[in-house]
Amino acid sequence: MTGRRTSSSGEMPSKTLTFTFDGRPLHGVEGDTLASALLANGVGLVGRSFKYHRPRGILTAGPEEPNALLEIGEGNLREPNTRATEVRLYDGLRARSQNAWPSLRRDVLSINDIASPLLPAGFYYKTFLSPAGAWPLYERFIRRAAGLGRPTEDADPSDADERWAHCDVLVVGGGPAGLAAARAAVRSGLRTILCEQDFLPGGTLLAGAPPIEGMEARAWIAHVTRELDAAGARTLLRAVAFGVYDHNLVAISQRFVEPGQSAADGGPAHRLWFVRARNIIVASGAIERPLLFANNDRPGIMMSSAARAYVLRHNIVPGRRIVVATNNDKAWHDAFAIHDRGAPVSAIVDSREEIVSQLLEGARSRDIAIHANSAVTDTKGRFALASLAIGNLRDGTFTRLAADLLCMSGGYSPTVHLYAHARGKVAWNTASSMFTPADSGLPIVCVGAARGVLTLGESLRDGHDAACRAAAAAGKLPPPAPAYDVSDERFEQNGAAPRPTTVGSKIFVDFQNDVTAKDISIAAGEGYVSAEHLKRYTTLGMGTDQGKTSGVNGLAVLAGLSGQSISGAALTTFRPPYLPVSLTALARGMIASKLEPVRRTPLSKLLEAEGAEFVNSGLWRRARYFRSSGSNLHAAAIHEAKLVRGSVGITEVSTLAKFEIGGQDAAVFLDRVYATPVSSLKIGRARYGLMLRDDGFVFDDGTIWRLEADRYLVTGTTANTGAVLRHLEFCRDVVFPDLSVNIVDVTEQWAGVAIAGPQSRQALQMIFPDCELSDAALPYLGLFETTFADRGCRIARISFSGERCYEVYVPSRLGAQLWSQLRAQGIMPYGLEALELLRIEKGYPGVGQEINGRTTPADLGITLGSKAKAAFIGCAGLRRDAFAEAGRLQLVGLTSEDGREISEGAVLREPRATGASEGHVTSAGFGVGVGGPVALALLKDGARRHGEILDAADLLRKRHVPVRVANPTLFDPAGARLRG
Amino acid sequence: MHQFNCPFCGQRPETEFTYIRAMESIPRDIVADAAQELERIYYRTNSRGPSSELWQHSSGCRSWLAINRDTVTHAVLEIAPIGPHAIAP
Repeated sequence: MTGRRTSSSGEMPSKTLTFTFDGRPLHGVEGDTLASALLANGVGLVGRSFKYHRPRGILTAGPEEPNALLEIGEGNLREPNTRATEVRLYDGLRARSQNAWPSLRRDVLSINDIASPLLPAGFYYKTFLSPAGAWPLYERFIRRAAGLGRPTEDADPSDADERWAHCDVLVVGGGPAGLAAARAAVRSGLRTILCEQDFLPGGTLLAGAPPIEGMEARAWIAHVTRELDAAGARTLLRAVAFGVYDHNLVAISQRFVEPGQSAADGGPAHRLWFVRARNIIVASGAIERPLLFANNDRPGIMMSSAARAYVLRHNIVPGRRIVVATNNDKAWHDAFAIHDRGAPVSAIVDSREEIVSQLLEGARSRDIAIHANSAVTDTKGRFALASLAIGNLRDGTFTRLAADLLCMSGGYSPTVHLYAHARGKVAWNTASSMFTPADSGLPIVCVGAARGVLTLGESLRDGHDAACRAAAAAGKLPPPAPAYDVSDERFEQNGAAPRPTTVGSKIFVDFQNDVTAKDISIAAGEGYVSAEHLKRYTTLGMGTDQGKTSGVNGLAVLAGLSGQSISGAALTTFRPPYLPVSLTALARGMIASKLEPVRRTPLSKLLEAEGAEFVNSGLWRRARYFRSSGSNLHAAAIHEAKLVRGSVGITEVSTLAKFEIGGQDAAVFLDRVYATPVSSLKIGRARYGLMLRDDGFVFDDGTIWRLEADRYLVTGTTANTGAVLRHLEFCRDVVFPDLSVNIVDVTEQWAGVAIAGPQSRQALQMIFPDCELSDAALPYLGLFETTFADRGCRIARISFSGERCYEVYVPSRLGAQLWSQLRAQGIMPYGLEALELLRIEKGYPGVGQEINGRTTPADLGITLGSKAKAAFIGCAGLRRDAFAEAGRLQLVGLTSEDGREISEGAVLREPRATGASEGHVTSAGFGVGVGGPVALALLKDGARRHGEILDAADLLRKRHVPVRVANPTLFDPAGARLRG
Repeated sequence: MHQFNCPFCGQRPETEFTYIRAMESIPRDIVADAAQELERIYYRTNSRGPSSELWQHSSGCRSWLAINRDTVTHAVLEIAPIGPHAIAP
């Protein structure tokens, strides 16, 4: 590789930048991409291919690059698989090649290239199959060999944020068509956003173009962007529109620093834009297609439009002996342009028989040899191109040419991805050998090269016209067309879809995944003839480049093999993202403490000060246990549970769902919504309430309090608050609209403390000395209203622990005061974990464990009593035959026969059985009342199997614990402690 | 991500709404017959194309909306409030 910088063409010398590649210090200039800087330093070899570890160089000058994937940056800023063509060079950039060991030149796995006959497409479906037990060994080796770059294992320190924007027109792509469209849009008075993936606007204009409106190309770009800024249009650079979603929502990923750089002032490194646009104009250009010949992947072989960009935009001469191989006129113009700029083209090889005379003239006047009706068939040169073999398609003779840079062009494919995301249809245009967008009547259109318009003047007009149509549709006056008559490079026709010029095994179609024409013929031979099968069997188009340079070529090869035309084939479905998007950008800063909003209870601060360890219960932060209770979760929970059973403990219950239901039909409404009886509840009493889904399965459980004749308070599980509220509103508004009922969510209005244990009444009396708390006045399930600190307070005698318990509810603001007063009396706290232990040995079902969406009241051992024949939500669902059948999983309690812990999730089976399970453990813990490990489980026909000994098998940890099946109420089955 | 034109709040993104269920599966009262109920709950038309769905504007006005939406193109064909607070558009 013999690249060098051309002498400056009279412009201001650019600032010099230093960077390293594989440790080697190199220099570039401001405005370089990493790729152009490498080429300027004569670096041609930049990586090793994925499967065969073949030496690879830079193929393109854009984000479609399949080869030059480098690791940029170090430590926690390291980004692997980064396309060198997309990185803006900065001072101090550190780049490393990938997929080569110990070095790029001396790569051990390049042996794969020799072994390639053993590694064709799909080889892994047929290998490593036996002996079956050896797979772990194969896997270890395969994992080391597979993959390309190494991601960092450190957390990304970069910040990212998100913005929403609404506009009339979003123009994707700041090339000629996009700039013309944006300009027409602002002149029509439309709110416009322009986004461009490069760090400069201009697109192909940056690689040399004829004057536009009397201005040199760069001056024209500056002129238009100034007008856009002055008109208030938003221009986003380094911004990739990577997906179009429903109703014209476009997601754009913008970066503010290059890979490996940290954001200087602590600002975001990435910004994700969500743009809702009335109209989307896709001016994303077209991607050039490689030619198909043996060894078409060597360093020194690149696309002709790429060579043009490196010579004209970056002032580099990437080779000394340059040959251009093509099947279209455009590449001839590229050849002349680079030749005139000091990159000497020695020959043009064109597979067509007839070539326009102006082009032949242009070549002759520049002393460029012409090989018409010819095509490159093979190349030589291990780490850099050295020579090519050219075959004459007419007489079959071969010529050998020395060359160190081959610029190839197989025509262009419009970049229609975003259009396809929006469900726009594309069709193969036989005349122009491209997939072009078909008019789909959607508010998204392609313009310019993205629509198949490849000449400059026409592209400008195309962009302008599309914006005018959007203006007219919005009732705005479209502006007159500027003088877009450009003395264009005339371009008769797009190149035909390339076909292999030879037979052989090293004709690369997909450069990144090392898929060759031979692989495609193997796939076709095995019957994988649809584009979707071809893709998945050969992995063509499945690399990080998603087949941008290989899609159409692959279809063309397949069509050639089956003797059909491409027009029958359909492109595989394009899906976002168009280019890789970093997870940091997608996270938009919503990580760690900002992942979810945190809901703190009225007592959170206080409990934290008291040494609580918290757990997330949905979005709530709740106290799990108190550090003063024990050295770890297990010990603390047991200590706290013993405290409750032994004397008294307090816990916060503020997060329970609480709804006030009132109105003249409140009782009727609740009778219909709950499976348990409600209207028979007396004023001043509470009751357990079971709510079903309409299919008869249990949805939520809680309590129902009757405060007044037509005023109730219902409680439900914390985690189900939103769902229960929605269900109640749904029943009121949609199912029973003629009932007069009010529903108020009072979950956050009341702070709640449960005082539980044999001495709970004494504890309560200390805080409410004037209240009558005898069992006669306040029996189990009784409730009354009183005051606390001059505010209304409610006390209900309900229990979730199986002990005598009083739940005290005060206005939220007074919760801390209530708790402090109780603690001041020396009463100790307990947390969620202890509550779990207490509930399990009492057989109380928990939502998410025993109430899992597949259990009915009968499965949980709950009879509906007087409601058995009544009408309530779920009553008909309950009556299905299947629920009466034997074999249903029913709630049982389990005790450990050998004193060992029972695993939650363990599978229940007959002792020494293997195979199908009879049930599973839903909750497990240490039962402080029972005095040993206990569990709740769902067991087939469990209600009739009390006394059986089963094996609770934890298959993951390989623990088998013998358990005895019993009634779920393992402790105090008569409930004496509740009532006593 | 859809945009829905809530009759009360205007154009709002899909994230403010919650899909509830297919309109045809809504219970209109408590029905005694098990077979009829199971029909309503489990047997759905599930059309490919225009489909009538119940949504709630859960992060907005909390109204119930009957949305006729094409399940293939995601075009919103019709959107109307239901329930006692519905006002004729």
